[in-house]
Amino acid sequence: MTERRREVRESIVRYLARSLRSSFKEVWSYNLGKVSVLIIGFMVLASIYSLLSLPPDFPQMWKATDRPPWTLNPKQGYPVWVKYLGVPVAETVSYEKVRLQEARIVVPRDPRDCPPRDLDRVLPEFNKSLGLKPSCPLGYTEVYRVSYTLAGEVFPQDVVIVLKAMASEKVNLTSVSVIPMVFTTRPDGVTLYTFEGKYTLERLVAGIEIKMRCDLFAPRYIEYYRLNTTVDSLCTLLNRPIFGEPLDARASGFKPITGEYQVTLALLYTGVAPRDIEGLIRNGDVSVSPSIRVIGNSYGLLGTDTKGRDLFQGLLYGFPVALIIGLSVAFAVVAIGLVLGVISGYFGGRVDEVIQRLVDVIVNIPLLPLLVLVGVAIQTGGWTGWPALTIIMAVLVAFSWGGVTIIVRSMTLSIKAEPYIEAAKALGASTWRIVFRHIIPQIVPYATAVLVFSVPGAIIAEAGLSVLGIDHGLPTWGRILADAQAERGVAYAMWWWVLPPGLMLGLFSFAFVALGFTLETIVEPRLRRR
Amino acid sequence: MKVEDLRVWFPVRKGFIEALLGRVDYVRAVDGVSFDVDKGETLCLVGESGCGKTTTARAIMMLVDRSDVKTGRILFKPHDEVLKEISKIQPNAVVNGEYVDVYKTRGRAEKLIRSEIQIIFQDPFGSINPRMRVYDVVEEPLVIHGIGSREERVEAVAKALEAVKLTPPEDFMVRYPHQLSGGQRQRVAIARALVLNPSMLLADEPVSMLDVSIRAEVLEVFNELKSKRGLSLIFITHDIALARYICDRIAVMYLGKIVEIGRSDEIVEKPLHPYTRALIRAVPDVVPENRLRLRVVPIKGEIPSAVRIPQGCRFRPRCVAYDENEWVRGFCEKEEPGLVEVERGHYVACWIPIKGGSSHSSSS
Repeated sequence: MTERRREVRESIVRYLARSLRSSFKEVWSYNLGKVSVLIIGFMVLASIYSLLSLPPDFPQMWKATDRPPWTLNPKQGYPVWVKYLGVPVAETVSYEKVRLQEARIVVPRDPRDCPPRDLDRVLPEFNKSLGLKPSCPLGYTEVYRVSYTLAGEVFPQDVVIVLKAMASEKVNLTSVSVIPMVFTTRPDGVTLYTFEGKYTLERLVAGIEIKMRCDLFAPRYIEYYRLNTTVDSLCTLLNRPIFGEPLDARASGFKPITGEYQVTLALLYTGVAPRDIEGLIRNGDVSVSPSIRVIGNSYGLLGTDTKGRDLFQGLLYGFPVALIIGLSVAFAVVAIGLVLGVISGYFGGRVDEVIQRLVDVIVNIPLLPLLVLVGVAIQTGGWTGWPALTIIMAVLVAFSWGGVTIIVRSMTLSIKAEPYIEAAKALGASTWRIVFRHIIPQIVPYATAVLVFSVPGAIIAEAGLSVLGIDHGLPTWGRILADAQAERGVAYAMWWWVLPPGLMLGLFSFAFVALGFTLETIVEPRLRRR
Repeated sequence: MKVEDLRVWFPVRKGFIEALLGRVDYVRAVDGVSFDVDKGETLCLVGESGCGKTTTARAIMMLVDRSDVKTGRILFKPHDEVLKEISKIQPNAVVNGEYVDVYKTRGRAEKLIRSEIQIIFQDPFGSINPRMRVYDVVEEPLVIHGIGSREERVEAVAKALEAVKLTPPEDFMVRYPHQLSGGQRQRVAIARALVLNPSMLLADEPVSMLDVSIRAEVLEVFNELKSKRGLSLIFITHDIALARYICDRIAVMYLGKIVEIGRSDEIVEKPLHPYTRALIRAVPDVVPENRLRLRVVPIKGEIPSAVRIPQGCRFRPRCVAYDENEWVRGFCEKEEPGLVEVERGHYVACWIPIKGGSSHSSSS
């Protein structure tokens, strides 16, 4: 007897296990199911990767467009791989921890030492015409040099010098200053000398980025030509005289020069005796570590937007956000719809009446104007980031459960009339048992289908709201598209800005709709083709 | 079990004004039904569609709204342990120290009564949840009433399935209803009803939706249950030939009332009520050439609405005997006949036998 009992139990357990495993197998057995599983799996992996690789404060970072890293990227930068499509590309290269070329004390008695020896072949006419003359005070000088190859016939956008100093307590930070001098030796042999700044160690300890064309070049340009303009408005064009040669004598246009560029950075220490600073540096009491970044016209896998933000990172951040928005809104809508629909249908009476009137109201309120209002309220209320997004999601949920409720109610009404419900009552089953064992299992397949189908709906709604200008501040796909729209990325044909988030939205929707179709086929065997 | 003067009236939804004035019409689905079923006895309720057989069964099962049960009570004699338990929990539901008035039970007492009275429904395709495996279906009553450990329940389910000849039970336990034939499903329903070991079983047309070829297997199960378990059975059918085969006594119902009740062979061989005669005449003949002959079933018209029950004898508008026996018309029009014991244990509600007229009309 015990033998048989065990057999019975084993067979039941085996059957259960088989039915659980088989639902995945069933999805996998359809091509559409396979595709959807692969895409959703990819989305999940991308989300995990994004959460692990991006800093936790990425949304704040994304909004701070006036700060690095975005300021060190090209603006409207192409994706790097467009060079394989024949687009002329200037790479963005960062030279971190540049090796010290030479360090010596400049002696003013020897004019050949000033400027440093190997910078002799400065383009005399051009520099003279700009009134530029390298200053030559006495001091301890460090020289750093990198070489950059410009492959495409296009102007790199800028060269940025990043200086970061460290100093021990022995050093008086305000008295020691550093004068960085940048020389660019072009493939045509011309060396351009750009203006030097003067920064105290105190400032350098905090870290500083100096943009060559704006911070160094433009003031001189304005000064020389007595231009009635600001540095900001002028410096967008100043990469041309650095990386190109004038097309004519009046320099009405420039042509980029391809080939190898040498960027030399000389750091001149002042405000303290040269021997003293040399000693401090040797002992490690003062160290200034420079890095040089040539900003080309391309950056990263997916390029940058008009503010220099890396669109690949933005897109990556969109994965977990899209999954969270889609799944949580869909889950909440289906859960509320299921619970209220079952209550309404099964218990009827006054409860039913109340729920149905509520549904009438929320189904008939136009959602879009309401959401716009909510968006305005969020902005005036100063909400931003996840709290703002949560509010938007809550409103989406609050006005979307009506449809599910109506359908679940009518399903419940028809299931309630099934003889097996009466049979369960006759057996003495409690109301809860009837609802949970007999009614809800019948509705679950439908609820699953609704769930899967409403995931993309929520994402699309969020994207639509972003484009309408409801700003929750998170870099979602919809937000990136909205930025592209606002910054005229579409008008400038910045396809790398518009297409990837658009395609991701499409792919995301497709995956869930495909999964929905597959589940539908499984749940409703009459739809099966085999 | 005793059913006493049971009336189940369903209100008819009417217009706003009528509802406001408080005028309510009722469908008198069951309109004063009394009968009793002894222990181990099988009673058949026979009648055409809409006569109130199923409503009677549902009223016994407490499946109708309590407010729709206008009069009457259902007294049920459960197992001794159950009776003891109920007299402890709810002494006011116990009548004469041996019966339980089922409509007075509430909560736990009601649940106990439900474990004692079970029903098998007409539709074996609808009465089993299509998403549950046979094991879960048959186990459910045990789970609901909290009986046994998991192992004991597996054993009980296996035994119940064996009792309805679904062998080997392990093969059937893991199947879904759609993998079973109609007969097998109905036997699963029977197993579900039996697994609690009830003392009363109702069967509401259990074979009328099955193919003729598989009716026998289900009826066989019923016969065996009767002989082996000593179960009281109320068997509802519209087929009087089947009733004779399965039942000890037959009660013929017409428009919410029992018009004739008695031992099966007496009812079938010596029917006293014109309606019973019509039912018997309507049974198809197995001899093929007889089937081709035009048969006269001694009844006319259609069953009237249960909202407007005819004055006097409710069968009068359809009665052939009423047309033929002029002498009795006065009674039929004036007053509804009650059930009168015309022969020993044979009750009939028709003025002709009551007033001593010839029970067999010329038309038979």
